[in-house]
Amino acid sequence: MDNNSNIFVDVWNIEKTAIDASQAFDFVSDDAHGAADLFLGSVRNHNLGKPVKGVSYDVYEELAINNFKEICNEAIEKWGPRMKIYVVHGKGRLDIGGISIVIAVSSPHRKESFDACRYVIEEIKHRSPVWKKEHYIDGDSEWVQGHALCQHG
Amino acid sequence: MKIKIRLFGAFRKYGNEIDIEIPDGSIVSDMKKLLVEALGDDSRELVYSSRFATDKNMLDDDSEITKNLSEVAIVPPVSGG
Repeated sequence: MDNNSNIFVDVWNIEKTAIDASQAFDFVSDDAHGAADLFLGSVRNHNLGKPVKGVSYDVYEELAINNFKEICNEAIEKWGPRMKIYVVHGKGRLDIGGISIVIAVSSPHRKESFDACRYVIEEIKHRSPVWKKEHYIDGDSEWVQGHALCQHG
Repeated sequence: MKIKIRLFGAFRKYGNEIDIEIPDGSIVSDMKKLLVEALGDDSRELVYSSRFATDKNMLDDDSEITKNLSEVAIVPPVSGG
């Protein structure tokens, strides 16, 4: 993997390896940084009024990794080259409360970390090739409708 | 020429991939029509709300399909995070 020293991105099979927030924090830890932000996405027990018992994540891994890097590089362009960013998205099935994504961002000052962390999760939700299938208590399951990708955006 | 189309998300009900025959000189959006023909009419709405991609980037609908392109993916609306 050609991650550089400021960016780490990956996709993990979460049925085998759980996402680990402390690894994310360790990666972004830097003596010159006074701020670190952590975002964890987890499986919620309901969606649109329907009780959910689990979610499966499908990922186009090669494209997702390229896309995560692109998003991290955009954040570094916006908020400065001294930032560190760690992103791991899960693929596979998770039960309620399971962690599907971790993002950690550190920077010398807090504003950049907060803003960049928010940017990275919002962009991943809108642009990255990841799909969620919800499994309902009644035994039914459905792909979440999602965001269509615009041609030039 | 033959192109392998990888299937993800809501397309998984049709399998993990499908090969389609593309006439020379086709553009990316031509593959949508051919994919609907291959998957069946019930795929139309999903195909036309999706985009094609390689493992590196998204493809514009109006770009030409080059001869060295042997594999693409159809990317339905995304719901990660």
